Amino acid sequence: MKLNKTMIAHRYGSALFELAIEKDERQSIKDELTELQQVLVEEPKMMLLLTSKQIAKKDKQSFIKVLSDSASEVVKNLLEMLFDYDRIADLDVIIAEYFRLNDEYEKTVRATVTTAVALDEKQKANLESSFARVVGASKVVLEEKIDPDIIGGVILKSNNYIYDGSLKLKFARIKRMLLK
Amino acid sequence: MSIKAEEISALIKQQLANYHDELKVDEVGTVTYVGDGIARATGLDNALAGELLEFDDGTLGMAQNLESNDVGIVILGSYQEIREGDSVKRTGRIMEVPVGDQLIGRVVNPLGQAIDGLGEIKVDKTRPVEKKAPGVMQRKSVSEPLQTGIKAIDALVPIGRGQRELVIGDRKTGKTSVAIDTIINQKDQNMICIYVAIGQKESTVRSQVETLRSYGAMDYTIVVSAGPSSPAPLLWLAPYSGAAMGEEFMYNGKHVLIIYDDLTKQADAYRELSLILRRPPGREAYPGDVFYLHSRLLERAAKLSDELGGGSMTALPFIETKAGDVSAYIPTNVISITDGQIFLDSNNFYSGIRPAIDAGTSVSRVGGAAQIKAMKKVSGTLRLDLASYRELESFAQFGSDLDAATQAKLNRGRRTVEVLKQPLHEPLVVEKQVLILYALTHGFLDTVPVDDIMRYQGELFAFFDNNHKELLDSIKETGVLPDTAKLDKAISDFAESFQPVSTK
Repeated sequence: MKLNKTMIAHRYGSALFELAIEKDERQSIKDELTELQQVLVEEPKMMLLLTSKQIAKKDKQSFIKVLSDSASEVVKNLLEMLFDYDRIADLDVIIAEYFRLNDEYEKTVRATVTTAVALDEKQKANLESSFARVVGASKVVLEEKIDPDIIGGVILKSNNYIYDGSLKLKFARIKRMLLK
Repeated sequence: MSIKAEEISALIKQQLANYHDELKVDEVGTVTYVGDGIARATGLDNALAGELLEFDDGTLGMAQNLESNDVGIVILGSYQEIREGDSVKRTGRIMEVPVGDQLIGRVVNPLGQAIDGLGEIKVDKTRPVEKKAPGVMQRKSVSEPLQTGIKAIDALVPIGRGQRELVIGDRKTGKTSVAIDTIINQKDQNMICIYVAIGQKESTVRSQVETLRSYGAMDYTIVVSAGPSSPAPLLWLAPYSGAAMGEEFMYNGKHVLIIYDDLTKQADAYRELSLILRRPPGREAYPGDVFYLHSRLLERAAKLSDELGGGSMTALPFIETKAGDVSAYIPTNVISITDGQIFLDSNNFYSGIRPAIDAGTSVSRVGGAAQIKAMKKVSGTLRLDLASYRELESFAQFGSDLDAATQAKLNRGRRTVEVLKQPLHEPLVVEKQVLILYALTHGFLDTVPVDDIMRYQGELFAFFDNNHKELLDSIKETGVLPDTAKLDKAISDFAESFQPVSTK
């Protein structure tokens, strides 16, 4: 059976992460992968080159070499292995899986905050600490989003859960209650 | 209409006082695929099998396939407004339908919403659509008869309250007419009827409802309809909704008759959605659990024990065969689940024997337990008479020189077939059925020309209504045959006054 992308990401990602823990290089590998991810985003043509059928394998190999030259042993091996096994196209999801496992390890939770007006530093810190208490995390990383449509209040979205405390929803609720 | 501002502001004040400011927490997933009544969504890691999910536009769905990284959802309603990337919310509820007395007389869709244009149905109770059937100790054996009012059924394949009797036949053999006549006959029989129309043309359902209404049968009937233009999930759901509505009455000690018209279309709808959900196809491309689809539905028909109130739910599932082939997948499945079948034959139908019941292949496994004594007595030899008639009939076509015994058998057979004919929407009360069958089996009809039998029957009933009401009443009340000497005398009296028209 053909493996799907999520399964590949999970297998390679967790193997990579376990190796990183064993070698005690968790943080340094994370930094390297962050760099790699940045390259992937900034140079969309790179992946095209690596997966193209029109380019000779040797040329691709030399390209991988350039990428992995300055990398640590583990990341170098990862790149070469993915290339040899024809999984290089899944590099982005494998990196994402590594970050997810790393967050889990550090008890870090990422969340998107939607508000009608921008939060100030104090409000943000307040929100972070109280949300960390709710989900039992030691660190919360918030990504801010501004949407005047919600009128007021906050919507927090994290890990498949929505915590909706917006005025828009409350008005809708009052409307439904009065119409009943 | 005048609106008083004070009243409204008082209401708002009251509502505001009790208004809780609470945070709404929802688990959501993202739609990755939509099409053909099915959606797939990632996320929703904690969704339960059969849980109701809500899409952005308020459409509901039901979680069906729980896989390692996504959930297969059947969409209950329109899926035109759902887009890839939309979010789906868990509701924490399982699929429920409104139930209760308020539904009686109404036409609803499988979600329990009115579609008869008579306004919203206000109910205060709901029931889950999927519920485990009553177990062994909660049941009692079937003992009371369900009178269909159709002579051929009540005499040959009696149905008891709590039984499951399959009605099977080709298209256009009068299956639905059996259903409608049975419902019409339940008037004043302390019975609530539920007619579940699955994939029936909306125009047909409309005319069915009009027929029921004109006979006053909508006073105790609920019609659940999922038309051919409804998405497959609704067709699949319809019988379960109907069963949930029926169970509410059954567990309250009432008697329910539920008709699934027809389960072939439900199986087709289930096949459709299973294939789109990518479940592996089996025989005739039905999924592996198509037997369970029908067995768990029909098992919910029951006669409850006295401790549970003694209510009952009788199920009449319908199956449409192709060219009389009862050995196809779905027909054999449902035949093995039910307690007998009524087989409607297209040859009979076109040769004018209506209802077109094939006495040879129709059986009821509950049988005599569901007949009153009088009926048991008069119908005992009927099946044998018909069988020997069918056997001789083909012989008799070759020659005309037949001995007297054979002639007599043929004679009796022809009259039996004639007596079992019955016009549409004219169900007969049980005492009159007993009367005409008594006359038949005791040879009173042997001298009546075949063409005159219908008229003979009508006049006999009128004669008894006018002159011997007490005999009919005694059958109705005691359930046994009255003094046969009196009965014989009364029939002979009538026979003397009867003037045959034809000479054959």
